[in-house]
Amino acid sequence: MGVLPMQDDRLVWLDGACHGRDLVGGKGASLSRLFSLGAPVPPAITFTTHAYRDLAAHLALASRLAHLAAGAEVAVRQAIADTPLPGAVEHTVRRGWSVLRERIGPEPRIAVRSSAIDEDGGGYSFAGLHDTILGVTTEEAFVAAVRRCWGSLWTDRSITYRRSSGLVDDIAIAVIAQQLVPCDVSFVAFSADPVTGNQDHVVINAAWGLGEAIVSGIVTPDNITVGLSGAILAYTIGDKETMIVADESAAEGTRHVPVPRAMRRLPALADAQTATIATFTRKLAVEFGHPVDLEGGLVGDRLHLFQARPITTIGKPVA
Amino acid sequence: MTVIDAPASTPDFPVHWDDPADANLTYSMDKMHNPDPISPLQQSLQPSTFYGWQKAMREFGVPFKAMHIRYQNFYQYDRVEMIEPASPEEALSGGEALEATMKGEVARLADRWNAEHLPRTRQIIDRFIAMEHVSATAPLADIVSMLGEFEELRAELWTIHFRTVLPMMLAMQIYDEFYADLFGETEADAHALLGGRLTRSVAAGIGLSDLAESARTTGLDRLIIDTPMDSLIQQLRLSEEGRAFLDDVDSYLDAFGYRSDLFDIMTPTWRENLMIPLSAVRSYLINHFDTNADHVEKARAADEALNAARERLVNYPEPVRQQFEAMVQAARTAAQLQEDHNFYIDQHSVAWTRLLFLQVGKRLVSAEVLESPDDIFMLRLEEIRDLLGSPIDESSREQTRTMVAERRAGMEHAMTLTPPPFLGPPPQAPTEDNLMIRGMGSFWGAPPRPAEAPDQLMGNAGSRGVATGEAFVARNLSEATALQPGQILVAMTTMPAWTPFFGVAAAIVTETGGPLSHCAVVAREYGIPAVVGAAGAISAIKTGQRITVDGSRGVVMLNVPE
Repeated sequence: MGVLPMQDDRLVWLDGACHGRDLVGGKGASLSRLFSLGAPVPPAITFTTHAYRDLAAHLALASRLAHLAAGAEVAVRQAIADTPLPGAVEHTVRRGWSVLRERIGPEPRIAVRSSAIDEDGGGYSFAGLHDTILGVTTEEAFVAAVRRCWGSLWTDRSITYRRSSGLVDDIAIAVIAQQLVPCDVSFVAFSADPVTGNQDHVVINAAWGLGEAIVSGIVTPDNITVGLSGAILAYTIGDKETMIVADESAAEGTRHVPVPRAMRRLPALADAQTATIATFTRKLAVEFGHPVDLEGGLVGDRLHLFQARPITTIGKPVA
Repeated sequence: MTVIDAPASTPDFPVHWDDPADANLTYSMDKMHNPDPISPLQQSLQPSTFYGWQKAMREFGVPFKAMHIRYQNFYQYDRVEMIEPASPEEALSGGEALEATMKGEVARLADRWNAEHLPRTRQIIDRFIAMEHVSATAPLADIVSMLGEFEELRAELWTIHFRTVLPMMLAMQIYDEFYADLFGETEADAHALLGGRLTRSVAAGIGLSDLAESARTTGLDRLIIDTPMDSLIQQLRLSEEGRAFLDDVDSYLDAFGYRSDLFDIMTPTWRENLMIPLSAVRSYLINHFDTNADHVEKARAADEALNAARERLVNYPEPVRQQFEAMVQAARTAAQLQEDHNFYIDQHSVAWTRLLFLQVGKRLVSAEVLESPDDIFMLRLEEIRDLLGSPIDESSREQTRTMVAERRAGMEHAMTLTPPPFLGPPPQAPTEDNLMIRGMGSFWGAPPRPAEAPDQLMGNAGSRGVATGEAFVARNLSEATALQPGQILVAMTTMPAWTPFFGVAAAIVTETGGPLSHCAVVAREYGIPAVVGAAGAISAIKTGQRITVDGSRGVVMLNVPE
């Protein structure tokens, strides 16, 4: 893995070498680290911060930013979305698509995500602010998705967040393109109780279909607390009314569909699956040395990990 | 049932309560199963039917308390009493527990039917058949104890019936809900995936098609089509081919003849009266209806619809797809058992009860107690046992003759009455919402909403589609045999014995039932529009009247211009 030849430093595989956040952004660095720990993460490439800076230079963003007035962000986003890419950058993006196809198969389904430098760092959680495009299945959609992620640095919300947190605008972003695994059940797992900080408890939220349903808050997931011994201390069934499934014909590559009423109040996880997730989560927290929250999913009983971040509200290191 | 005011007693339909408290309680008539007056013998057998219902309900954990049956002018009215939950919480948790139990029963319905219910049913029916044979010659006193055994077996048979139909109904309801949740309101009908089951009704229809085909090949078709029904058998007997054909009909009836219209033991079975199967053969000859080809096509279409549904679900979580598969299979089992349970249990039970008691009636004719074997239906079971068990003298003969004459006159008069759909306060719609309530609602049908325009008759949507044509009103199966291809059948209710005529009709309207009633399910199988639960249809529509049936909306348009 990761030994496909790269002609530039604009495109890397996230597995095979451990990449730092300056190159691949916070999310990318996390994933890179997960790969190096041998975690079951779907294959992913990253368009590095170099790729963004090349684009920014080409668009002369620095000088535009100097004169940033209200509404100027729109123009910046527009520029990123519409201006023809510099040849080298476009070449890189298209090569990214082709190496993914080589690795995954002729009909890949890809999730494209932004990974900002300050993101997922110890200090700030940019969760939900930068773009995610799921279910990309064609080269043109892929190119458009990558451009959108570059542009997500310049949405009103992103700018506001940076400014209110005292961060600068001279910032770069990486873009991750990862195989999208259509999960039966998705989960978010915390290696410590996110509310009480209790590090003896693993807390899991689980729902049918893709994890965006949990992360974006459109579903009330099942809520499970697992004790240190592995015992399930509490299983609160959520009213899982909606799920997100992959749909090639949909604009976003996914579709919100209703969950049949007979399944809304069925537990999404079997006990064995809960145990697998909890064990894995604790292991990862130990590896990382601090409490983590994971996003992952199950296909049958097989666990896939998509993201892992430090829990920003809990500071204590994990023994 | 229509919610209308029903005064307790009118000159036309006098009502007498032995217990005055009954006057303030709601008693309802089940017009879907028992629209006609019920004979004294049948009345005395009903407790064993309801015993079966109660026993099965209790086994499943339904909080059933008691069933109260009353007869007014020979019409049956009942009142179900449920155990009241102590609190809303208890009602909720009880409903959830019942739902979990029933889902388990739905999952194992096919296995239980094949391993338990059907074998035991066959044993009991075989015993009834043996009893009928034995009754021809056994000493009268022995017949008394046999009738005791008969009652017990009948109660067991009806227990098996309800053990089968309750999960069967819920399997359909669960499936319908799952399908609607997944696919919403689309053109694809959930029941399109269920068609083409090789049920006993379809087999009976194939047998009739085969008889039609053999009539065609031996050149009897013109004779059958052109000869008036009441002289057809005589005409057939005149030729060798005709006699051979009648032999074939005889063999057919050995397999499929132990059935009659609804549940009335007074109605001759097909075995005894060839008019109905012969009418069906005639209909198939005129219509060139090939039941087997139709069945094969329906099975193919159902599998095609299933594959299309699977395609749509290809990206869904595996647990959802597995649930869907399980529900389709359970619903297909239900579609099969909808017809088959009725064939093996209901029809055979009614047929052999009739034949057994006709045999006893013959014995009592020989003993000069009855004038005609079918007078036996005018006697209650306990009265029959008394006659069989005690020495017969002139006084008991006299008493019996008077009783039979009075009751016959009473029943004949009752046939002319229009019984109200309920007595006492109007029935209340259930307040709880759970799977059982919804399933029952789909089976019995909701009271139709008020008409939106003049010349509209409202009912429940039974089977989608729109058809316009000449109405043909039939008050029973015998009348329905005159249905011409392309006409719209209008009836109080339909049961599996009516199924051979579904292939001929352009659409169906019934006064009783909901989307999961027999009529609706079979109309969907045949792909013809149906409006069910259209109260008042028989009085509002006349044979020959041009009507439009909108089975998707549950509306019948009357007085449709050419």
